[in-house]
Amino acid sequence: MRILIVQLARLGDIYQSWPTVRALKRQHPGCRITLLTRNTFEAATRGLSQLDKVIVLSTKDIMAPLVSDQADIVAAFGKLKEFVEGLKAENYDLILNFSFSPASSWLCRVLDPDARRTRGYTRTSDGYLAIPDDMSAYFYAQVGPGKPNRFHLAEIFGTLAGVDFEPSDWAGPEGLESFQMPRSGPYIAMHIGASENHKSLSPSKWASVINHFKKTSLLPVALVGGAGERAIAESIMGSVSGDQVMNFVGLATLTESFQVIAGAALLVGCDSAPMHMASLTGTRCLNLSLGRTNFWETGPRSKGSWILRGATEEDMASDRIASLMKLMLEKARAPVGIIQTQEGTPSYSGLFPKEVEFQWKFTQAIYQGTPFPEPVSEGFWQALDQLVEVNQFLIEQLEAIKGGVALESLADLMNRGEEVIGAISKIVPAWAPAIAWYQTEKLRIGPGDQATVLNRTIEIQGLMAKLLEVYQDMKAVHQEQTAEAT
Amino acid sequence: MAQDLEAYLETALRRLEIAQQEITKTHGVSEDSETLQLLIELVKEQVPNENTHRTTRQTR
Repeated sequence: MRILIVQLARLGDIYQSWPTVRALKRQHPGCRITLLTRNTFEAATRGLSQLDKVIVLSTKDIMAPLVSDQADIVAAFGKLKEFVEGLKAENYDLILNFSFSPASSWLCRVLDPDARRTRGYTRTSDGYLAIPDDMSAYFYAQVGPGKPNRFHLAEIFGTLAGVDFEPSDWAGPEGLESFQMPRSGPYIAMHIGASENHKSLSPSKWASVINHFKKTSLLPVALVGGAGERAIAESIMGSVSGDQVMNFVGLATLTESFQVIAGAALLVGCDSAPMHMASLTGTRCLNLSLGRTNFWETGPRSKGSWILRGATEEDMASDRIASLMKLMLEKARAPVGIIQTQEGTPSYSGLFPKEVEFQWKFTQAIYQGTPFPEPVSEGFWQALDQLVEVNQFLIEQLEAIKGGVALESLADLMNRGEEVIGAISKIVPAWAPAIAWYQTEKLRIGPGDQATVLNRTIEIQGLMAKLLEVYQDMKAVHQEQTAEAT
Repeated sequence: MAQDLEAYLETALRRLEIAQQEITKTHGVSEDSETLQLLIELVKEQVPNENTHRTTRQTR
């Protein structure tokens, strides 16, 4: 079996694909796995011996003819066409699109037009997004900042590929030259950057964390990061005494940084590639999770890791971070408010607001068949009545079309109904998981003759009606209990 | 330099989109028109405000 994994995202996503590559090779020993990545991030495939081939998409090379006053679009098209033809000639039996991006979906469409061999986003014959598998539909509906998902991205990739992980799938790189640390003994690794500035602390904050930490510990700190983060590291080095701080930022290669992280007693950093490298080497992490970063999806996986959440860096006092580092080194219990890694799925435990817990349980009920949770707000019941009314209205219109009424005469009314459903999702976020599921299923219908599209739409409307019935029954019980109590 | 690059790509993007529309109008949807759409999306990823390459989660 020839498998192509399309992974056009960045370093962190590539590292989070490693367990899936290993599990695929274990479950299909004779398979040949090719990973398609961007040239900028190719280094993140080194040390993953289960890959048979790495193909690099060089957008710089393809776009070179466009970067001039006489942009040669024919030449750029020719370069891309040649690249795509090369991929097509490989005749992959399975294409796994781990990128969830518009470009990757078009690439999959070109490689496998009828989507018989594709899992992940692709395109329909009329150019709309096509979501052929349930995992990708789940991703589209429920994954991302502000969404209720609690499945880790690594698990999402695994499910998309149809594999189960074993502990051995989480391992560091193989066959790399060993990297000699300039001094022996334990140390802490600290990644001081992130792919986006808002995901990381400012240089002055990092310096303050190091200075606080040094008041209570003699352990040296090794700064890690890429060449683009060198200025941040230099700024930090200017504010701390250098004898206990080793600066590898922009100096160690990615694979050398892997070894610095593997040897560290602890990695401190934000949501970034080194955190995902630490998940593979088993290095404990103190993850400083900032802003809209979703730790459920991209947090550290190493046993015993902690997550400190904050909207901005002002929520993270330097002395608190230093104190948490010390507690982790002492293997002390996590203070209240700290999120911790745990075995199984979801990967984390902690205390969360009841509205947030409800959304996750609601999501599980929809996708995994667990019991539907009791709502935690009165607004949920009011929205239920509106949803029942609109859903019933839509069913009646669809039945009318089935009975011969012209679609055009009812299209506007039906669009209004869909707008109301969309608005409810924003006004009453507790309903968001169900409405996102509903809207995604509608999107998945794809092109077809009117009868096929109509029947599938009625089917989805019927499923929505059944879901709403569960809460209508619950509401009746709720009202009875309220009446008895008064 | 980066601004020059963006300006070139923005101009190229407009031309590619026009070419794509023309090809689809005259020849319908084909493998070539879909490959051209792929090129358009790859260029969009490099252009600010249309940038879709930041993370998997923002690319949906």
